[in-house]
Amino acid sequence: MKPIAQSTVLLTDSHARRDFLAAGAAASAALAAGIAPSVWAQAAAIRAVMPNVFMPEAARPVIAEQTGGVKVDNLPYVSPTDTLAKLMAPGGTVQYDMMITLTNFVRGPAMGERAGQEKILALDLSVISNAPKISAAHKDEIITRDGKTFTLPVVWGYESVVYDASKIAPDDALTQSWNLLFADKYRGKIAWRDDAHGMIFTAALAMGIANPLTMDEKQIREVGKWLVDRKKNVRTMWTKFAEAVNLIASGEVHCMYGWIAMRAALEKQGVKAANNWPREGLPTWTQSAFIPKDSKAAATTQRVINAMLSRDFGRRLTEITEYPSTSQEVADGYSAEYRSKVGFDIVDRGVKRVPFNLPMRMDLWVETWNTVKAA
Amino acid sequence: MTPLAAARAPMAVKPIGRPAWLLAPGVMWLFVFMIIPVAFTVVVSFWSSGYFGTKPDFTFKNYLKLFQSPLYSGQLIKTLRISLEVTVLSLVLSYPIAYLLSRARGAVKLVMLLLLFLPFWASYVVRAFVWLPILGRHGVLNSLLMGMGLIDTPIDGLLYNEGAVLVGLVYVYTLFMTLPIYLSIERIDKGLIEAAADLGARPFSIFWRVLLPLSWPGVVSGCIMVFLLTMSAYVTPQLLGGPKGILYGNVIASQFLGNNDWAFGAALAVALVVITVLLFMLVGRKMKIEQVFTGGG
Amino acid sequence: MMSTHSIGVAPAHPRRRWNGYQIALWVYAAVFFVFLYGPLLMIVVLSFNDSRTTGLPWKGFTLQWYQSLIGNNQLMAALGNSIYVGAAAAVIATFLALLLGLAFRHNFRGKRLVLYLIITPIIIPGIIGGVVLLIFFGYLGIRPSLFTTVLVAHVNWVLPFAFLTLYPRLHNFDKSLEEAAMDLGARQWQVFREIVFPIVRPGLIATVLFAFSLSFDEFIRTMFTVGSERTIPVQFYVLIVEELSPELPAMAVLVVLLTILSSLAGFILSRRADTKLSS
Repeated sequence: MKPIAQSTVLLTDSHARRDFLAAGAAASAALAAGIAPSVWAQAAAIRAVMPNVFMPEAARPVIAEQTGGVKVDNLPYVSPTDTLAKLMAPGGTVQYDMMITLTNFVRGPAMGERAGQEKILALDLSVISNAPKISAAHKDEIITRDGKTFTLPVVWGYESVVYDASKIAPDDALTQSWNLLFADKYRGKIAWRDDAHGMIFTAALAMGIANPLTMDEKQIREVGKWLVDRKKNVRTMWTKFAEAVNLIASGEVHCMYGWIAMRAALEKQGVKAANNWPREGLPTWTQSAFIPKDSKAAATTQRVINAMLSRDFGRRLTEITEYPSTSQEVADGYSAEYRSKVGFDIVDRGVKRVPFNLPMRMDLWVETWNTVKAA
Repeated sequence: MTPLAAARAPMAVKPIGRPAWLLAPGVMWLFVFMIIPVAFTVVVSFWSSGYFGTKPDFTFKNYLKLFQSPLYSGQLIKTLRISLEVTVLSLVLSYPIAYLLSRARGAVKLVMLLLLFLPFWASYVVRAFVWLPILGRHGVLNSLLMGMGLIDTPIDGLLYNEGAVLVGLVYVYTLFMTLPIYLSIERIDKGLIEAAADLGARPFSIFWRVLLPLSWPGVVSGCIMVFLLTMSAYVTPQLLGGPKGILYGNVIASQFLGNNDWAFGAALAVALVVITVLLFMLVGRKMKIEQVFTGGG
Repeated sequence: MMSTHSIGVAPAHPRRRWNGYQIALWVYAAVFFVFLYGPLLMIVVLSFNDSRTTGLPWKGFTLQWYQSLIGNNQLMAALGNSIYVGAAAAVIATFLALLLGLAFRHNFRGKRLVLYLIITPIIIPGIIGGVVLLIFFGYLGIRPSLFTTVLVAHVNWVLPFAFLTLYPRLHNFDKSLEEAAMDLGARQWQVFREIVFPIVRPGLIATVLFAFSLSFDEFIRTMFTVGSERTIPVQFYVLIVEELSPELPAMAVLVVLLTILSSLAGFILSRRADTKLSS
């Protein structure tokens, strides 16, 4: 089985990119000469910038089938900031056909301040007939303006504590709380993620702050102090996927801030891994698909997006990666037990969802986190 | 002879080539790809960065942040301290080996040299990583100790702290210390040591008053290399350091990775370069600079 | 031995007194080599471990990781990249070092400054060396790739070492042949081609090999200048932190074996060049 999470080694988000000027000019020239981007592929192909994990190999045939043979060319994906930077760079809107990234990153820069300033294309919902099947829980993640739809969430996910269920009881009160990462009970067996956004967000939730995004400076600093105090319980912090999975797999820690894909990977290794559903709030996010406004394959791309929202693709996506599709149709097709495991039914279960957006004072969050790390 | 001194010795007929033409390619390469990037980084260190981008500016705030906040200056000092510790430890551990190596003869010497080099042909990333299954909670060391009945529960304190980073760094960089010292000792006239022994000097005395001073260029060379390498360490602290063992290199890297604060990262980088250059100038007073890298050649 | 009589201070058995210390030293050496090789043996052991995570506990013996290396395109690509970049960097750096070395045989002003310039890449700590290029190429808009940004980083790193290795050999050879040739009216290029070059060729080979091995293991500067391609150290790093890779230890063992083989080959080659020269 191929590793679930893939990423390139370009570990940095490069902003102020003028490198695409050259590439963009070349692409524009070629396109202007009437050469379609797919001239070097057998069938039509679109260029996509998206986390590769959401296009598993086994699901590609579904796309081909539903769009009449269209192939998706996955360019290297680095991060949401980098993806937006690509879009905003000169020539960015014509070079790529489809982008998928965290929805809350798209809202600001891609939509521009006023109508008409959007860098992305309004979608034709008559082509994307699967759009209404998006579950009600995610309908507010659809970005619209003046009645036109610009993005559609394709997959969603959440942050939680991934833990070894053979070492930590799932129905313990502490287990179903963010305090699992901070309390003394599992001291020395906890791993945090080295990430300002995630850790401060969840620490705030654990401290009882209902909406971490609106914290003022005083509160942020309090969270920082609290984290410094809790740091003594931490074994280590991870930055990347495999580091984290190895931590639990080798028994070094019993619980950690983690991703769905990590739980899936651990299960494949025979570890009895589970994730909790913290009662203080489950940070959820969606990844949305959109089309840069000058893409020459817009029509084809819309069909691809439609295919991604279809039941067949959604099922494969969910089963292979364990990241849930946004389609209600997909959710309905599963047993109650599976729905519960993957998280389709969290609204019904009363799990509190908190949108995992970026805070106003991100710079202060980063600063505070640096303090926590250095302490 | 040092390159400078030797080059000043005149030749009867001028050596081939014209200096300007010969120098041009190398100097230009270094100027374009080394000097200019460093200079540009200095410039960027005066710019200002936000979470979404960096813009040209002229501000001292990056440096102020570095020096005023105990966070970053603390990390710098901690890294200096650890670099010193690693250097000293490495020196103490490597010197006897270098000495033995130079005293060995023939096949033994060759085999020893080979054995010394061999580990360094495994990628240094792997050599750092391998300490995880050794020092970990369920690693080799703990399993051994428990198996021998010496401890009941695994020792947590072997990994994810400064100590682990220390061990890892010493391990990864030993060759850089051993080699220059060995080369330096090789050059010492063995007759001197024999004479001292014949005169009745105790071994320690011979070491302290004959061996060490004569191998000093190699010692300095090794110490500088290891110190520099440790100051810039990134992978080893990241893998082995846990919450407390991160070093300055990690701080710099995170400005370019997660934080997107290129201007601040540039300032941190400039600070490190200034320190290392100062260090060099200090050492350069005691020794000719070119000797440093040739171990006294 | 005779001198002790004349001085009159005669420790009973000076040589035997050494022996205690000598034994201690050899014991220490044994311990040291255990320390050095223990972790490596660990890697070899782990390469046979039938476990999906790299590390203990031991779950059984298997050859599957070695088998998976055959046809592992990523590994082959990384190996190829490391070899090509290494060769290119070694040749370029050696060439530049040769020219610089020849220049240093002259007297010229600013020699000290040039020397400082040449060793700058060593003084600049590795991570900074990478970062300054990241900033430089980033703002120039040059996208990171193997034969642009990575090659530059490697030549930078390797050039000072190439110079310091090559220079003594350039300097130390007997100039009388050269002088004689020029006295006889040979042109500079001829002198170089017929006399200087054959003499320094072993040194050049050694320098190229040394430069290649430095480049092959270079990681930190590469990390900041590489795009989506990988060199071997980068591949290992990505496997360790980002991708689950039970085949990592097997890969590492394979690379070590390859490196040993090529180093031996290089050593033999350079020996042959040396002996050919002296014959």
